[in-house]
Amino acid sequence: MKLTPNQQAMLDGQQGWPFQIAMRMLTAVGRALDAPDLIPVTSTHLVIDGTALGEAGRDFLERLVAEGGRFAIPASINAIAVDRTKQDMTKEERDQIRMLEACEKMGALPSCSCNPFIQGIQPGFGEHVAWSESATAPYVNSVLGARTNREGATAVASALTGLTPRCGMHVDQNRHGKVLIQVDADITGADRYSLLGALAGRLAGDRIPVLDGVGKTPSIDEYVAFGAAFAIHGSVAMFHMSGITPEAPDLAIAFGVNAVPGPVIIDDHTLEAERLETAGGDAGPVDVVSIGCPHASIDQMRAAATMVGRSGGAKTGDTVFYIHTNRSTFDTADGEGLIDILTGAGARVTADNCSVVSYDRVTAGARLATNSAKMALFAKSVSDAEILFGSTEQCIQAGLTGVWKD
Amino acid sequence: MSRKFKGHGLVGGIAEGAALVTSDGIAFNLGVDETTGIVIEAGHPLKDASVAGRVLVCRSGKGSTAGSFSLLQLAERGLAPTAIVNIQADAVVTAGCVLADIPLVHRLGTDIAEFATGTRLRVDGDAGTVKVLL
Repeated sequence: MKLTPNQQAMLDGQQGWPFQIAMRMLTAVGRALDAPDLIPVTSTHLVIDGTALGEAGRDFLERLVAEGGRFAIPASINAIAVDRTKQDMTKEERDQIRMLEACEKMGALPSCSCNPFIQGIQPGFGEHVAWSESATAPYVNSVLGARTNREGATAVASALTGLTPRCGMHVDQNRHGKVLIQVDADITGADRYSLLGALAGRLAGDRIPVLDGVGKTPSIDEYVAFGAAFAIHGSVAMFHMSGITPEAPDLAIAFGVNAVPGPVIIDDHTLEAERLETAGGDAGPVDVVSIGCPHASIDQMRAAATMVGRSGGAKTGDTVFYIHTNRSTFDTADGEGLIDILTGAGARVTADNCSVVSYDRVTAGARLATNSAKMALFAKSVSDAEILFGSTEQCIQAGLTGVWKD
Repeated sequence: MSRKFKGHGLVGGIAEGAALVTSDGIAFNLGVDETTGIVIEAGHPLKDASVAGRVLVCRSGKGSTAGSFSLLQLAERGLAPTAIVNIQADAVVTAGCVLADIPLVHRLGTDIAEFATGTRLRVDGDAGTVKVLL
């Protein structure tokens, strides 16, 4: 790899250990993926949840601070394992806060959300960035037309150096489609887009898909739901929706250097089969309802409050009803009086975290209802949950009555 | 006569150990228990095997990018592989090996089937070589 004199100096340790370890990570990854050089990036998004980092990760971040590490570019933070306002934290939860504080000392914005887009954090078209959290990459690349690979610890390295290897999504022809998915169904609502995303992710695998036939431009909430499920069911960082997303005005341009292949069809039958695949449980009592994966927007909070008001009653029984969101949306919702309505009806509105990354794990084998294919997959693999899947409205009804109705 | 393979070194250092071989990938986050070093992924060919102290020979890393920190956690507990050999290294394992100081070599130009679980290997991450020890 070609390095500039300044980059070589950082790699040689002349600016101290934090920048040296960052450059070691970036150059090793660059060599692994045949990147010719490093390019500048203008923002990062960091995954620092304690369940993934552990004490080793905490020590690493604190050592970066102690030895002079400072972020060269804006860094937002992903959902963490605890609500920052929680009283009586466990040791692991306090460690999580230490990890967050270490990042803040290096210059990060403690946004603590898997949905930074509703917090106003949105890279621009063509902007090269280095973001972690797989759910964000499809939105960044496909909806915004900015450019990021699916970063991990390398995002911390990019935050320190302002650099990333020139490979993957940073290169034009790697962004061209290879799989054609014909959508022959009306898709509306976060849950349906989540199923579509899961299906598209699995059909795509490691090749960028182009979806044709999506009837109207999805809302932010629908795109976010799609992207999260897409990223967790496949390994690519990007999709196209022909005639809708910015790098796909038509099929030919979306496929770029690649020939337009024959289509795979997704229709109402395939979506229903996907829903049954996602949800193994039958109607009946539920233990947990979890919506807000990714974090709920103010529109979704308002819709939830309206549905709660319409249903006319507070929650009965022991069902735990979570609505996950980020701090800024929580505060906005609070200002509108929505938190009082939702908590008054028995919902637990959480900020900063969620039932997947939280140390407050869902009980093994619990019956969990959700509108998110990503939440479903994680709850199944982490907690062996029995899943009920459906619309936001169905989930809210289950949250209030304690019973899932098909 | 001992055989030596030449590939590309990605993370330097010399380490030796008994090979643990799979043609599958390894997901260090959620696929390996970071408190025990044992492969826990359902249906994985190496399920219930421990990676601790082994030269892990596998296709590549896979799964969540959080796997880089999982490797660091394993190393802190003394449960990490002593070296990793991939057909094609991915960003997750590469970054994790840098963090955890684990020698990493890829692109040996040979089939994974060349290596047998239990064989002693010496990995040189600077030279990019893997030597089968007798």
